[in-house]
Amino acid sequence: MPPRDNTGTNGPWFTCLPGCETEVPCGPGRHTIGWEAGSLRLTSHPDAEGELVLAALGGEKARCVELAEAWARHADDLSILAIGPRHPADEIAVGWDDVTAAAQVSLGPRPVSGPGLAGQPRPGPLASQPRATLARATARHRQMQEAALAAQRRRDDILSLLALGYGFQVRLIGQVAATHAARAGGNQVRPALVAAIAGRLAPVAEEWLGIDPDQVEVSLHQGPGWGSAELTGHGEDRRLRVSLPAGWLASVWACGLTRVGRYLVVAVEQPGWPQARALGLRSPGAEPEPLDVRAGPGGPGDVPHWEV
Amino acid sequence: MNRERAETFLRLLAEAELREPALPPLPAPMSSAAPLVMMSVAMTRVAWALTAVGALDPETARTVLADTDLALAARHRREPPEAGVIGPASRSRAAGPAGSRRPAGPAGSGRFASAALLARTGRRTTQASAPAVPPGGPDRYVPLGQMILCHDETISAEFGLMSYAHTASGARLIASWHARDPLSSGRRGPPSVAAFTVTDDRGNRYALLFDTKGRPEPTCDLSLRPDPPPDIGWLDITAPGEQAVRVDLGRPAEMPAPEVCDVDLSTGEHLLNRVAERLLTLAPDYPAQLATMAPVPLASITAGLGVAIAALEAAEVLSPRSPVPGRLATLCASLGIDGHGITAAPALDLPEPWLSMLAHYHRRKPDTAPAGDGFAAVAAALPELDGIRLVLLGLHNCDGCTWMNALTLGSWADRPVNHGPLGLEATFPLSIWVRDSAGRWHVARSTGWHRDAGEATLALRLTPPLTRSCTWIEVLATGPSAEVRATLPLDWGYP
Repeated sequence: MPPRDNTGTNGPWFTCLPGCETEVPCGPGRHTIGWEAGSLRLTSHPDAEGELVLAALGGEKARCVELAEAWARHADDLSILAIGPRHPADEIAVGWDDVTAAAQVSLGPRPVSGPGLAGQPRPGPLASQPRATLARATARHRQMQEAALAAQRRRDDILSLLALGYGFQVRLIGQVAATHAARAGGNQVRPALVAAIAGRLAPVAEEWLGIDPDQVEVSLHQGPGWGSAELTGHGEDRRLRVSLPAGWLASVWACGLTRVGRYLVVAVEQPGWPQARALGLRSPGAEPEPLDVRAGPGGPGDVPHWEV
Repeated sequence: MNRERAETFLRLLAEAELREPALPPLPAPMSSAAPLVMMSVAMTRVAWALTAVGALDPETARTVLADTDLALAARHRREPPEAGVIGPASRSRAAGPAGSRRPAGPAGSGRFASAALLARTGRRTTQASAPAVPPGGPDRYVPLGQMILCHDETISAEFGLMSYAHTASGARLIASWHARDPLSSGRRGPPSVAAFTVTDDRGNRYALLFDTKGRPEPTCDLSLRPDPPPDIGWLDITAPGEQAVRVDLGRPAEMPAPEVCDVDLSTGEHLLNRVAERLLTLAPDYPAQLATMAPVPLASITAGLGVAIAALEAAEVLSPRSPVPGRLATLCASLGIDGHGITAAPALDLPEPWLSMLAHYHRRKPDTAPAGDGFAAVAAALPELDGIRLVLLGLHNCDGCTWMNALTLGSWADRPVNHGPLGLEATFPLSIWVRDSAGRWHVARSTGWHRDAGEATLALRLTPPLTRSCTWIEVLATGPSAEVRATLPLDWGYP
């Protein structure tokens, strides 16, 4: 699948990320799926497009191909940010057994409803205009069935993507964030992006400053520059206020650059792998310093571990 | 109202949930019926509160909750040897400070079965509404207060006619009924009206159709078929073997014009007032605790309220200086409910209706004799409040309860029912109180409705019940932007 055009001013967001691979159960065996320079690679399916045509004609679709389709479908899905990992120790315990078992669960025709948000109409006697009522009830039932099926499909997609492992999860999060950063989305996506940054910055800030993660306040930076960071107050009123662009999630967090040594990395000046130049804050309120960083071995899930 | 901050608050709350200490491994499944427990009550309460005030659209709320549900489920590990085996989970997570965890999803279908991610269509949809009632329809409401008797060897029954209503969906008599077995004096089911004859002042003949329309059992609609002209003067109703009863439809509703005034309540305050009303309606379910001033076990209702209040403030639908959270804290304290998380200092200036009800509950000698059965003729169409026209069509007492029969017109009648986690109908935003002729206040809560093309028949239960010595009531209906007061004389009839 070709990468989306998320080229920033300093190059594509994924320039600091090496390729990665994993094995997935596909048909009777296990196939290798890879990620390289923003693209998913199906090394065991050199003619994936041909397989898709066959599948459209009634043939069975290989899991690898389904995964590539799911990856493309969710490349801008904000739910990936809400569900995916926040840091390397935030382990997502989804395996292929889980994916298989979940796919076998039939949601059936029950309605999709959030807790406490959509109740069931109470049963009652027929209205004085039974035909109209029946038609409305049938239409509502059909809508609920369709929504339930779509929700099941979506859940199966996301579980499959999570089962690819931490390295792929992080790269997909980077892809989603980069897509929205490039779009410069409006109010509708801002809350999800703010929460996504807050959820990933707060644990790092706790390590960096010893601040309670609940005391980290994030806003979305838009416009030129990397953003801002300041520490205010004392005790319970202590706050770390950080403003970062959505692209930080892709070019910094997803590349494993969030904290290098004693620095909080806020931007990447010269992306690259295994060497790059980043901008790091030694403390909140300080000017960011250029840092020449080098990727070392041993990062979790093929995400590099960087050192100054 | 700040919708962006509202959604951000909910999403950040989800982040805080995920930051909680490592989730304990799930023990071996105990039974296929064991629930999986995930999200905190606080999350669902915040989502509900923000949705109820319109600061968050339901689709977004459901998406955030579903994502959080799956995110939590994905972080559960199963203890060996069950690792890698999908099966039902069995133990709830320990309740956090925000309250207990909710059971989620169908049992026995795997830990991801409950994580019902929502399908996104790529755009936010709005609820399509059915055609509205055409303006200038034949709406006509007449108080009646007459009895129709019918007797034979198998049944002795009465219909107490409370009102006549004629709207776009047809004409009907709103009635309470009472039926006995003449031999055993035991209760019977509703009497048949198929053999009744009905004629109007123009000689037109009608059939009567019995329909409960979701109301409590002793009340019903007797619909006229075919639909009569809008300006008929009377109806003669004859039960088999009985004399005709002339029902005068020219009787005017004797009531002063309702007063309408703006209210100085934010939507957040209005919602919290409705939560208080919910507590006040549920409290009498625990008479022993009320009598002894022991804590009323309603913490499940108030759990997460403190966080919900913070969310309403973040969404700018509740001022941080609002007195309502403090009043709610006082009400909880009066009922001995804790664990609500409200941080506002308790306020002493409780609204008069709340004080009236608390005084009633905490009397040393609470009522022991139920209010006597009976019905009162009422027909009053209140001015429109926030897109809803409320029409009161009769009161009746039965088995110690008082019910107000009502009809609502407007777009609300076509929206899907949404009870919400507190049992409050989120799409019906009116708060309804009744003050009786002795000065006591009663809260009205909808317990059932029947929707049909721009109309909804509504049964409102009054707590505490009215006595038949009550000669008039003042109905106070409050919406987010205005309130209406209407004084209605009560003419009680007896079954």
